[in-house]
Amino acid sequence: MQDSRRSARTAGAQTLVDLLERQFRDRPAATAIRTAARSWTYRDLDRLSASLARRLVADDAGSIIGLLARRCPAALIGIVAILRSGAACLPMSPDDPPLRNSGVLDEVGCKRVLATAPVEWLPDAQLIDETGVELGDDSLTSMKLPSPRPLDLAYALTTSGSTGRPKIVGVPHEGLLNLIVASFEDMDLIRTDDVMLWTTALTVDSTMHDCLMPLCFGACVAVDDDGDLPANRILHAVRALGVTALEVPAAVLGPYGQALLPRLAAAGVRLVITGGSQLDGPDLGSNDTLVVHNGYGPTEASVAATWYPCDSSTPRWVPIGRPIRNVRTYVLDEELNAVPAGDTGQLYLAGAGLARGYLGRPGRTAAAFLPDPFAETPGERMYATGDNVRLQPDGNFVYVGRIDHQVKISGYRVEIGEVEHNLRACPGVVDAAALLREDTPGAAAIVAYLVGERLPDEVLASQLGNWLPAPMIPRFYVWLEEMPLNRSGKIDRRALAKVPLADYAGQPDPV
Amino acid sequence: MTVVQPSVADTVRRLVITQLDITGPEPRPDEDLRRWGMTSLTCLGLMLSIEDTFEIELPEDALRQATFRSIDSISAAVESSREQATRIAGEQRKR
Repeated sequence: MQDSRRSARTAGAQTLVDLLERQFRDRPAATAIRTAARSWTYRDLDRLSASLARRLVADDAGSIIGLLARRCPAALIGIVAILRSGAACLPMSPDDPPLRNSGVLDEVGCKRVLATAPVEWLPDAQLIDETGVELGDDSLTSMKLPSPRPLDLAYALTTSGSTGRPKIVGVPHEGLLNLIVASFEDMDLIRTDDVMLWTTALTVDSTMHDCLMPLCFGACVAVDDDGDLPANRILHAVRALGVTALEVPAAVLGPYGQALLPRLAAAGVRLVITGGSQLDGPDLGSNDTLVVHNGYGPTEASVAATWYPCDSSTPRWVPIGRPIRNVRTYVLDEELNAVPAGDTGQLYLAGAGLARGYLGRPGRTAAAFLPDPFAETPGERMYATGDNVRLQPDGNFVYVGRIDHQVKISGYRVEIGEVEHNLRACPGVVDAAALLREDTPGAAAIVAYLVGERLPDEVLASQLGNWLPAPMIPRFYVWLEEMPLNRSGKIDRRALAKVPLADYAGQPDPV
Repeated sequence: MTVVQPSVADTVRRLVITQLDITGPEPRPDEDLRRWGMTSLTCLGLMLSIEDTFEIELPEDALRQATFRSIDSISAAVESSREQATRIAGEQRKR
C-alpha cells in the first residue's frame, strides 16, 4: 500500500477510540472477532461495546475499570467498551490470589469490575458475556459517548515490584496509539486482511497491542476456544482459524522456531511477532513468506519501543533493533552520560510511549522516570529500563543483559546473559538459563539450568572454556525436562533458584 | 550382514526420552507421559521432532495432547500417518 494511503487512514487520530470508530463507520460488515464456532462483525462489536460503554458512563463507573477475565471474545468486547466509556482498562487474572487483586483495586480506587464469570471474593462484579448487555432503557441509546484525550489513561497493568508489592503502570492513549500507528505505517505488522491470533494473557501488555492493533485497522482477531492455548495447540489453532499473524513468546520461538516457523508459513502465517525475553535461536529469518518481528520494550514504554525484523543474516542472539517513530533512545553510564558509540550502557527511553508512571507511587515513579537532560524541550522525561544494551554499527541495538543480573564472582563482573548465550550455543543444548546461587553463604556459584540432550559436566565446561573466562563457567549443571516459564512467557528464575542442588556434587573450583 | 531397522516404537521411545530428558528407568509403552514430566512446551517439541524424524505430517485430528499421551499412542499415530501416505501415493501412481 502506498505511504500516502497508509497515513491517510491514521491522520488526525488522537486516541485508540478514534481509530476504532473509523472502522465501525467504514467496515461494518467485516469480521472483527472470530472463534471456531462464530464470528462478530464490526457492526456487532460497535453495538455491543457501545451499549456496555453507555451503561458504564450512566453508572458513573469511574476512570479505571477492572476486567477480571481470561482470553475470550467477551473480554475483548469489554476492553473496547471500557475505552469507549472514556475509562482505562485494568485487566486482572482470575488465577491470581484474591488478596493481590483486591489490593490492586484498592490502590487505584477502582469502583467497577467487569467479569466473565462470577467472582466469589467480588460479589459486586458486573458480569459480561459476548452477547451484550441488556439495557432495558432506551434513553441511553442516544447518549453520546465521551472522547478520551491523548493523555488519558488507556490501560493500567501490574508489574512485579522489587520491594515485594506489585507496581501498577498507567499507560495513556498516546503511547499505545503511537505504537499502533507505527505498526501499520512503518512496520507492516498489520494489514486489513490479516487474522491475528490472540495468544497472550489478558494481563500482559502485548494483548493491548495484538488485539487493538487489528481492530484499529479493520482486521480480525481470532480467539481459540482453549482458554489456555498451550504451546502444542498453536499449530492447530492457526490452521483452524485461518490465522495470518500471531505472537509467539521468545522463550518458545528460540528453542522451537526452526521447526515451528516453516509449519506456520505453510499454514498461511505471514508474520510472527515475538519478544518478552531475549530471542536466541537459529534460522529465524530464513523463511521467504513469513517474517519474524522481534519487539523489545518494558510495560513502562507502551508494550514495545524498539523492533527488529529477522532476515537471513540474523544471528542467534537476535538484536532488539531500532526505536519506532517518536521514541528516543539513550545509552548511558551510571552518571547519565552518553557512553561512546558501540559501548555497553543502560538504555533509557524517551518521547512518545512513556507511561504516566506507577499509579499511587510518586516516589517509585520519580526514581524510574527521570528528567530527560537531552530533550530539546525542557521538562521531558526519560525512563530507565534497567537493561544494558549496545548499539551496533548497523544502527540496531543488541540486548546485553539486565543491570541486576550483572553479578560478581570473586570480584569478577559477569553478565548472566552472556553465560546463558554460550550455554545455548553448546551442541545438544536446546535451552539454558544461569543463576548465581549462594546456597552456602560465601560460596556463590553460577548454576546452569539446561534442557536438551544431557551431556557430561566436563564436556560442557570444556566447550564453554573456549569462549568464557574461567570465573564465568558454571560450577553446577542441572538438566530439566523444560524451562519453567512464568505467565508472561519469561524464564521463571525464582523457580530455578528453588531447584535442589543436593544431588549435584560440586566440581573442583575452576582454575 | 543383516541390518535391523529400528521399529517405529523404538524410534518414538528414543525421541520421547530425549525430549523429556529421561535418565534411568524408562516409561512403559502405555504409560501416561505427563507422569514423566511432559508439558505443553515439551509436547510441542515432541510433535515437531516426531514429524521431522519420520518425515510425516500428522493429520489435524492427531495434533492434540491425547495423541501424545503415551509411546503407544504416538506410535499408532505415526503408523496411521505412514499408511495414509502410502495409500495416497499408491492412488496417485495409478492415475
